[in-house]
Amino acid sequence: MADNSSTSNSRPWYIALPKLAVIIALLWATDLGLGTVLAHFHARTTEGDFGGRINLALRHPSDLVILGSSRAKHHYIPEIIQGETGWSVMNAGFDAQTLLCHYGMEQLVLAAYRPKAVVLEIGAEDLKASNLSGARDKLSVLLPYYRTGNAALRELLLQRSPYEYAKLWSRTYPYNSQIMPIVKYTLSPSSEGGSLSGGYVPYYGSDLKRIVDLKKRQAETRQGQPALPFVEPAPELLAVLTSFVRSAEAAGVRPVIVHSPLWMEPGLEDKPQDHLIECLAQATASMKVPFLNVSLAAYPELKQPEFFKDTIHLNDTGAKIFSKVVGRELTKVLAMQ
Amino acid sequence: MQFNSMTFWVFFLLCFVAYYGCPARWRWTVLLVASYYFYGCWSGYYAALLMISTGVDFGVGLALEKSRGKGARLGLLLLSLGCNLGLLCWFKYFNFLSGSVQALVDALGGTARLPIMTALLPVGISFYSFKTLSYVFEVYRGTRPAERHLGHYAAYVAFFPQILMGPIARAAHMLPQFERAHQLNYEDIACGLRLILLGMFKKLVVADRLGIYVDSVYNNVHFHAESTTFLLATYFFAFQIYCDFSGYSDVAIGISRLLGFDVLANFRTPYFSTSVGEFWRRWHISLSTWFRDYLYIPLGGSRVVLGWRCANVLIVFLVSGLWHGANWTFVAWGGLHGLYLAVSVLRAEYVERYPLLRGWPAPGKLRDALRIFVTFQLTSFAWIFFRANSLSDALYAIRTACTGHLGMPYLGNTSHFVYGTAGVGLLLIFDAWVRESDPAERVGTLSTPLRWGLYLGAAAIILLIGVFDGGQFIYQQF
Repeated sequence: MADNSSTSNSRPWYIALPKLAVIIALLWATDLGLGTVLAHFHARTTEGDFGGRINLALRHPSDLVILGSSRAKHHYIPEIIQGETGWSVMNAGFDAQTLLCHYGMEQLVLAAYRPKAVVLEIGAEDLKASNLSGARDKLSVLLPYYRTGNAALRELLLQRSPYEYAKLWSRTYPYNSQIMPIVKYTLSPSSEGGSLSGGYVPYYGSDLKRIVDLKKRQAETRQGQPALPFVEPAPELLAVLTSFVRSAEAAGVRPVIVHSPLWMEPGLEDKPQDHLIECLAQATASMKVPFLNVSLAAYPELKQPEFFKDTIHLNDTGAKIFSKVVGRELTKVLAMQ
Repeated sequence: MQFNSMTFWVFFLLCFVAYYGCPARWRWTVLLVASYYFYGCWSGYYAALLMISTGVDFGVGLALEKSRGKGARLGLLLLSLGCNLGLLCWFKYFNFLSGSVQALVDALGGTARLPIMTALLPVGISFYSFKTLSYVFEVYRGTRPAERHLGHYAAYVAFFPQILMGPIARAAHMLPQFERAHQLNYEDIACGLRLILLGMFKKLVVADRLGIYVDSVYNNVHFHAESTTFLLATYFFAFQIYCDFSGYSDVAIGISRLLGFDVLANFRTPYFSTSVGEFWRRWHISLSTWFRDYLYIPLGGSRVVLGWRCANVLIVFLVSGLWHGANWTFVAWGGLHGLYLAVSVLRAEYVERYPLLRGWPAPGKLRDALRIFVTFQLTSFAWIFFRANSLSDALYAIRTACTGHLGMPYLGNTSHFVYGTAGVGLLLIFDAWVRESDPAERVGTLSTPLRWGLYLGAAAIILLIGVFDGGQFIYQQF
């Protein structure tokens, strides 16, 4: 039990001060040492959704850079797009990432070199205000570039939390949760395969039927409940999209926004999502930036269930056709600009 | 303002400086202002409710001491019970009762629509209500005098390290400490900081990391068909909730210690218990002892016939389940624990009569290991009800765990799985080493290089794999 009386024989508080000072100094040294080692190995990796893919994109200057989420990473085959456009292509798509990260990635790419064009693969979910907080959390993958990034990137990263600036005093914190991928991709540098194929990582097979069945079951349990409401795009996220477009234009890089196809099972239509895609089309029109909506209605050659891994991702077979379509359309769009 | 937020630590630093910078006799004012500010950060209206509860019980305490008539004393006790439990029931159970009755009306084909309350449950109400009630019970029983200093009493009830999630510190233990002139000393600083580091490790490295996996399974139960997935998610939840709640308690006790207050331990390595009864003597000790002293013993405790003893145990655990949350899942969780203990009461009784029922006479350590294993399985099974979002989800999880595919479990992001498992491993090693002793004191017995290595190691692990953007503590919802 703590002895709270003033007459106890406990030691005075001030003898803790030198010990605390030594511990803080050791902590600082440990943090610096760990952070330096992690930074060294992080910079060497070229695979994985934690920074390796960013390093890959930054080390291989290309004419066309693809940015986006898993739908970019698993849909755009650089070799095929290069065959259609004649431009060198780098796929810098990131699993589970959102518009904020794509904007941060764009800042890193623009600071490193000037591609001819940048493609942003965007999803309707990227524009929902409800996803904003999660999107800020996911910016952690860009933290290792905080010290070397430009002002726009630093400003973006400081949005993560009110005390992010203080947290970034630590040299280890930017690599929080990244030790496993750093070890994995240091020991096995091309285990994912992206670094060998311009950043493209294929999905094989199809789980579409199982997922559609699951969604049908969910829809049945939701029967009788009010329909999901339409949501408008979050103004903050539209502002980020505008910044993305304007940054590219200011650097003399042509931006193109693309929306990959989604599998729509009859009876399971997602009207709120369609509404967001319409809003996205309107926003890009007002920004005067090309928007390529590769929907199944517009490109029926993609409307085969065996082309889809699940309802939002194409598999390798679908990605080959999609890449051909996108390459063809990009040639037209970029020629017109 | 959460313990795992930077805002809180800035607040605490200011509070710490103000507390020791203030003359000793006025320090309670710093605590009172800081506590109301801390609590009011959620809502000013919550702070007003806290003030009402404090005022009523302070007045009831004084009146109880003056009053001699049995009827008047009982009336005062009922007034306090009515006020505290009334507020608790109104905010916590109104919608539960309304919803349950509505379901019954719907099932019977009725068309009546019962009202639903939209006001949010004030955070910590379950904890501070029990704290103030324990004070009134003690004064009513005459085991402690009524507090005469409203400021001390109000600071005790609102004491910010404990107001959100306990420990439910008893007045007899805490109130006298508000009268003492605390002198900051080395031991309090060292032990307080050790406990804070331990608590943050548990919360950031283990609880929040495991929570990512557990949420991905239990918030989407129908997406998973492998029994291994539910087994893994349930075991992970067992450690998540332990680290989340005991981590909070460690930080709360550590902060109290830095302010010169001694708060009794709330957890004592519960997953090393050899029976469910022992588990409850090691898990959320402040609540278990509250229910023992103010419900189980008044009901007759173990001085009644066997049947009633079992019924008393069941009643206590059903109420405890309901205290945790207004949902049938918590009632089922409490009922299950009640059932476990009722069976152990029966077993103990019959073993005494028929020694052959004593079971397999395994060697001491092996027997203990088996008992620990079985107790962990029983408590983990009960956690399914605690974590599931509904009874149907819990039943689906149990059914799938028993009859689903035995293939590879869903792992989600492998990193989360590996970090979480590593965190659990480190924690179990630490708990096995600490066992019965106070963790801060036990660490203090290590040689300086080992001790400092432990601090640096824990801090480095927090920086490397801690979850810094994790959410609130689980028990905060209660």
